[in-house]
Amino acid sequence: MSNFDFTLPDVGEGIAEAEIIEWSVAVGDTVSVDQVVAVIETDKSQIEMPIPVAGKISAIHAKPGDVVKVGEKLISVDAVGDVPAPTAGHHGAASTSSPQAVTQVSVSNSVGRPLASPSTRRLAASLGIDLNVLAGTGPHGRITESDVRGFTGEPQSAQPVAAVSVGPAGARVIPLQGLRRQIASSMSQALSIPHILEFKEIDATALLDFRAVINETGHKISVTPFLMKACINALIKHPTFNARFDSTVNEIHEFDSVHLGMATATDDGLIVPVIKNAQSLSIVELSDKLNELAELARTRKASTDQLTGGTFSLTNFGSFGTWLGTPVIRPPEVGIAGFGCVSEKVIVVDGQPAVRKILPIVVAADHRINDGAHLGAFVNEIAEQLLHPENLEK
Amino acid sequence: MVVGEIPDSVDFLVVGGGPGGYVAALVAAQLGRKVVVVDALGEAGLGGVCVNVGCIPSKALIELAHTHHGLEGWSNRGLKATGTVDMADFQTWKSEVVSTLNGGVKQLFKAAGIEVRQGYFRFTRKDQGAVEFGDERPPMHIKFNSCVVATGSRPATIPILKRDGKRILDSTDVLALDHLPARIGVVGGGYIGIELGSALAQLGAKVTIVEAADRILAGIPNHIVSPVAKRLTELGVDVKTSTTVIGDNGTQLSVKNADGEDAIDVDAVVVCAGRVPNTDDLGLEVLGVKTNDRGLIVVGDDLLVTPNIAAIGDITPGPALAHRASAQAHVAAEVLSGHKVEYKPLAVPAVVFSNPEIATTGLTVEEAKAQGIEATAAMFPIAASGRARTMDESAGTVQIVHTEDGTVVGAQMVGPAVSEFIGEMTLAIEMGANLQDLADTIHPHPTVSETLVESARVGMGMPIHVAPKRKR
Repeated sequence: MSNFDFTLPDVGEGIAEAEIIEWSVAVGDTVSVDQVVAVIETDKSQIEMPIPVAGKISAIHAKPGDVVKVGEKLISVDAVGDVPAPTAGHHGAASTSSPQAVTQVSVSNSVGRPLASPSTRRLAASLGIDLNVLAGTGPHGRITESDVRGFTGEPQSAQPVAAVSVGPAGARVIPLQGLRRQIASSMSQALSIPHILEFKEIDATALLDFRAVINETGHKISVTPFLMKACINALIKHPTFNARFDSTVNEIHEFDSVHLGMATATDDGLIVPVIKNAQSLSIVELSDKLNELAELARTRKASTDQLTGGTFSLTNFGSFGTWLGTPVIRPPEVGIAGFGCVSEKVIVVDGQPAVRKILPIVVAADHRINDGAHLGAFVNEIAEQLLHPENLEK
Repeated sequence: MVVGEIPDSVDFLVVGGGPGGYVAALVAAQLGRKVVVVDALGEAGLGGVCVNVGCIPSKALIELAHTHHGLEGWSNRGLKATGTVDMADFQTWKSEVVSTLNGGVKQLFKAAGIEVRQGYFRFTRKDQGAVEFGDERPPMHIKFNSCVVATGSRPATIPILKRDGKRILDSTDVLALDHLPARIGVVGGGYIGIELGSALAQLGAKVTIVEAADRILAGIPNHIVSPVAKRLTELGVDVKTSTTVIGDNGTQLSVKNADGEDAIDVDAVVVCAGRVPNTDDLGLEVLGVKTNDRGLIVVGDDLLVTPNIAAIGDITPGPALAHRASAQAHVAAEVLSGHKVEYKPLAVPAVVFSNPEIATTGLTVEEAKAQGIEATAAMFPIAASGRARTMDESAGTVQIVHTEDGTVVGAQMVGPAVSEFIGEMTLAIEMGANLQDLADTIHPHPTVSETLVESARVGMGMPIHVAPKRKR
């Protein structure tokens, strides 16, 4: 028998923490290798967590609802047989070029803990930040409030953190949990990206006619796969938008393959399944893949692999019935395209007023990576693709 | 469901109106919760042991004793007066102090819209409990969204010294005495025994303190305790360490130690054998919660027992001190209201209102070493404090425990008024301050708190008001 501490493995790129949803074992239970011991919720999906050893559970270190960081102890086991190295990642999530967002700074001062005032520690706790990973910029290496806020990308504010409690009495207090908490965290991170947005209205009459022709052959394809195809073609021509940016080491990774994230509204919140190698799929295949992944996302059954690794994302504001919106880039991606609601408008065609079907589009780009001129060329390329739908698969 | 068991719905329930419970109630109300407090004594229990039968009345008694005893010394220093102690008058004044503070909490509750109910609470389900009234009335059932358990502690008893409230007293009885017994045996040399023993001796009683351990005030460094031990001797207190009580026959307290058995003539015996958490009749089993071997409820940084129940104060492991309970109360109320906060203090100060006072915070040198922190103590003598001299006090030491780079990790002090500035050292530890920070902070002259600057400078090797250690 030897003690084995099962720590939260790295379940996928960029995922630094997970929330315990439920334990399927209790202290004293005997477990076998690969037995599921917990259900955890990561960035966008729920995962059943298998344990890599057999033995008797001697301790459980977190409660349902707790957020556990990668590397933190989940369970201690009096293990029988071979025991893997404690930090070995066991979950079989495919992971490529995962950007390491956190640089571990070991605390090497004389007291062996980060020096920070009570108010700074309170702020860090409320944001779920481990002060051990921060380097302090205050006197004698003390961690300041701005060090903590800088780490989250949250803007500095003169407002006290507790200002939320000053509202009218009788507030319904709703703890931020699960997917909502994940979205809050990743959207706060996104705020550190300097966004640049460009808009264009496109005459989609030809596109809709083309779609009607294809659907006459028995397909039921929505407009979205055509928009996906146009984006994919534009990304191949403008690879600076088909990229990921790691600001901690100042590296841009450009890709030849397009892993396209598709923003999907679910009852629990926004989930973005990723269509891998989308450049190799036809419009019909894109349509099928989109339907399959959207269903997995809505039922919360998509795997970590199906929810990570995107190189660019697409969102459809039209489905909400609004004209258009300003999309938010999902770090570490560097761009996102949004499509609005198609509506009939009177425009000038060949010097004459004409009723045409108009599609508004927007692309948001990370201004650190691309400038307005680059973005304009990219948006125009998407427009050009959509104006000539017959060429989309050529 | 049984008829009559229809529960009353309560949003935020607090069990216990002491310094943990009443603070939790006020914080929860500030966070917009609708709060009900259940206390065994109802409104009369607000403030808990601390306000009603603990900290506050005992400090009133100590103040009386200190002033009375001080008169004797002042007769050589220009004040010709003698004092006669009238315990009945003292009790009247003490009751006013207590009722003012208890009434203050009542007013705060009224302003915050907090309701108080009297009774004994016991959990019956994970989100329900019954309030019993100790009489014929059927229990009232309460269903809650959130609950803070803050039932506190009571004096521990010794079976062979059964309390009768006349001869065998607990600490609560002593504070209510309307006369002063001439000879008093105090059983227990912890902080309560030392505080009460010193006070009773200063009031004129012949006091014997019996302690089973080989020293009084275990846990506080020896050289910090020694001025107090010396003062007890000066007051004529007989301190018997490594000695156990074996019985009481109504006139004599029998004790036993390595030298054999002895019988001490006493008119009263005060049992100060520590405190016992009030967790035995809470119905914790329906929550699936077990107490540890000392009857305490073990909680983590979020203080939660279940997702909607928190436990704070003397019923949780840690020093049984009012200010710790209050600090936990803030965290518990916020956690149960959906805020992500933690109870993770770096230092919990503690004060012994002995003569002279002892105050500690953070780590001792030994505790630091046990945590793998290399630390030393920088000491400055109270004898070198001008202000202390004007108070006719020269005994005592102020020491700051710091690491090699000067980071402050603890402080222990013995001397006059040290209780009033141990909070400053707690702030220093919480802020991660170092010796230079303390030395560069101007302290008012003449105060005893100046000794902090001097201690810091001792640690830096550059003291002003004592000769620096000669370098070899």
